[in-house]
This record gives sequence, C-alpha cells and structure tokens, in this order.
Amino acid sequence: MVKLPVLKPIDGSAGRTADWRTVKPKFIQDKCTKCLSCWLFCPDIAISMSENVNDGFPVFDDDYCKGCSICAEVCPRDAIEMVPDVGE
Amino acid sequence: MTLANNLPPYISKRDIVTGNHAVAEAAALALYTYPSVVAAYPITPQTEVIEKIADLVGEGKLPRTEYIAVESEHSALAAVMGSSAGGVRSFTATSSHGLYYMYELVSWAGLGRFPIVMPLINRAPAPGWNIWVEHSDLYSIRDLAWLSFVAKNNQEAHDMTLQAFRVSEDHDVMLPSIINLDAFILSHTSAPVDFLSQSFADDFLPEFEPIWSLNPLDPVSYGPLWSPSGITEIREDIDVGMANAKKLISKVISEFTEVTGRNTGEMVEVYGDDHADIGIISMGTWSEEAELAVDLLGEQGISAGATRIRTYRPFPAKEIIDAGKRYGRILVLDRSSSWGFQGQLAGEVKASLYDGGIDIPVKGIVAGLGGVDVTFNEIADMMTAYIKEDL
Repeated sequence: MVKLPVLKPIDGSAGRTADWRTVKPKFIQDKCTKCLSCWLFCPDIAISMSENVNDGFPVFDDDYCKGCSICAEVCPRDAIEMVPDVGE
Repeated sequence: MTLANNLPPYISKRDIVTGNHAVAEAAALALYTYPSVVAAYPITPQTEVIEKIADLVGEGKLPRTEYIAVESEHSALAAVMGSSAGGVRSFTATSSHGLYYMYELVSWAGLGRFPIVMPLINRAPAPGWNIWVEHSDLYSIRDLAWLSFVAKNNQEAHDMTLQAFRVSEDHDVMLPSIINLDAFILSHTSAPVDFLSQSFADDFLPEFEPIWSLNPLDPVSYGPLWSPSGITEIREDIDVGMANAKKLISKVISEFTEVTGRNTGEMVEVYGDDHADIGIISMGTWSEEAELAVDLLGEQGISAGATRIRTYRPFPAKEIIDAGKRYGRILVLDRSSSWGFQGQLAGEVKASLYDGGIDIPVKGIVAGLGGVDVTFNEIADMMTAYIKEDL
C-alpha cells in the first residue's frame, strides 16, 4: 500500500501541547451565560460544551489548551481570566 | 469524415482527427461510465481538448461528468485535486504558460499523489512569445512526481490517454500523469485514428477507487504539516510508486496489445538495426522523423537505429543502458535545454549509461526550439556528421 500524505485526526499527535503554555484559563462560572463564544473561537478544540456535562458550562482541556487567551478575549462577560501556569 | 465498415469491437470509429481531438475522445471514454470531474482553462494549443469535452458534456454525452469552467489554470488544478480527493476520476489539460500559472499546485498534485490525468500540449515558454512546440514545459515539472508519457502520433496520444488513467489510478502507483503532445505537429494536425470503443474502455479501465476520500463521516486531512523524518518516508514511497508504475506499464501495454494488436513500446520504442554504428535517442514527433533518417542511412549502407522514449517518468534507465549495448555511439535530440548545462535528455541518457557501466561516445543536440521544423533529412545529416566525427 502506498504511503500517501494523508492524516486522520486524532487527539495529541504533536504531544501534550499544554506543556507549551505560560498562562491558563480560570473559569468564573457565575459570569458565564453559555453563549458558546469561547467554544467557537478556541483554535485547538480544547473547549468542549455539552448540555449533559458540567451543567452545560465549558470544559477546558488541560492537555491541549496552549494558553493562547483567545477565549478570555472573546468572552463578552469576562468569565474567563488568564492566570500564570508555569511548569515545575 | 468517418470510415466505418467491418470494424472490430474494440474500435468505435475510424476518423481523421487532430491530436487534441484524439486525446479528448480518449478522455471521454475514461470519464463516461463513472462519476467524473473535468476542470480546465483554455490555452493555445490545448484549447480544442477541453472544447471537445465541453461539447460532449453540453450535448449530454457525458452524463456523469461535472465540467467546471474555472477562471484560471491555478483553479483548474485546484478543482480537480478537490474532486480527486473527493474520490472521483479527474481530468484537466494545459500547455506551457497555463502550466506555469498552475505551478504552485503542481507539487501538491504530484507529491500529494492525486491520480489526475493531464494532457500537456508542449509549447515554448515566452519570451519571445511563441505558441509552437518545445519540450521546456515537459521538463518544468519533471521533479514533482508526475508520470510523464510522450506521444509520437495522434493514435498513440489517443491510446496513451486511456492507459495513463489505468497507471495513475492503480493503488500501487497513485501518481498523476501528463501526456505530452508536440504543439501543432500533433495538437492541430489531422491524421487517421482508430477510436477505442466504450466497451473496450470499460473492460480495460476499472472504476477509480480512492484509497482515501474526503468524507465528513470519516474525516482525513490531505497534506498537513509533516515532520522532517516523515517527509523522507513519503518521498521515498514516491520512488516506490514510480518503480511500480514501470512494472504496471508493461502489464497494461501487453493487455492493451492483446486486444488491439497495437504496440508502440512500453518504456521505449526501438527501431532499426539491432546492432548499429549509431543510435539516435529522442522523444515526441521527431522520433518518427528519426526512424525515416535511420532508413535513409540504411540505404546508404550505414547501420543505424533509433530508440524513442515513450515513458519519460519513470525514466527508462534500463532501456537506455540496453540501447548503449546496441549502438556504437549515441546522438540525443533535445527540443529544450537546461540553460547553463545541456539538453535535459542528453544529460539523463549519459547518467543512465554511466550507471550501466557503458562507455561509448554520446552527443546531445539541442534543436527544434520554438517550433522549428526538424525533418528526417536534417536528422540524417546530423547522424552522418557524427559518424564522420564532424559534429
């Protein structure tokens, strides 16, 4: 079988990319209206939102969130705050 | 004009048509039976290829073919890469500056292994502005993993088009093809062609089955970021695909010949004396002139032979070494040059002979640029002069 330059998507083919980050999101649930903006804008699909999980509030993936802060920027209610996350 | 009486079942009609028309009708056979996509942009001297296919689609004669009229060659190749990735047989055609305009995507199609078939009507690059034959465009994509076939006449261009689909789409190959036709000498010159029949084409060429296809239910990504070591691995596999193509071409030609009786060679076509004082190596239309030159020399008592490269990529290195064993000296004709070095074919012939341990005189001649006509008389003169050490 030929080796074509085709990839099937899997989690973490580049390793645990959260190791790259210096900040991580801190979620303030009281302010969140579940508007989905953070879920929509996250470039790494590291935010999941489902009615059945976490009461429908966003869940942040600690393995693949690179700390880009886009979610905090786009959140209209300031429900996400970036806090330092420096490895040991 | 159609001449049709008592034709065998593998022939649908016998007609006098241009090379462009012959290629388009062969492509239509490949496109007809299963879903297929054509996207192309007209450029002299390729225009009639896609006009003919557009006509057939417009007349309802290719009911399963989607014809996408694009605004450029860049879009043409992008569109057929999309359709090929989507899992259907895909076809386009271009020439010279059209190819240069689609160039960014040529590597994507080759190294990405999209089995697209694309006639390339060989035309000189500008400036000076020139629409006539030269092989520069053929060489411009030499190193981007496309199979490359070179036709000598309209019948071979017709047959080769169908054969190219078969080789390109094979799962052990999966590489796109160009089918090279000399501008005007083939593209616009009418000659008799036996058109293959749809029933023959359907037996000869199975449905294209993609290895991967774009499907939201089973998503894949084509050509994403790739690690340096991984790149080496997939590049190496291209050479495996090329080697597989070489084996397959032999099988495909023998199957083709078994039904049609037509055989114009596999990797090369050999003409003239088995062991000759001088051999000429070339490709394209002037290879037929070279055959006449061999005959002419024969009449003068000079033993001569001709080897025509029919499959340029994969390169017929073994066949060139064999030629080196047949001939006392070799003249290589190039209708282009790698400026600052020499004619491309001459360089590759010499490299192959060196690899084969063959130490004979080899001389390259660059001629016929920008559509200059080179006749059998002139080729015979070149060969005679070379024998006399006067070239």
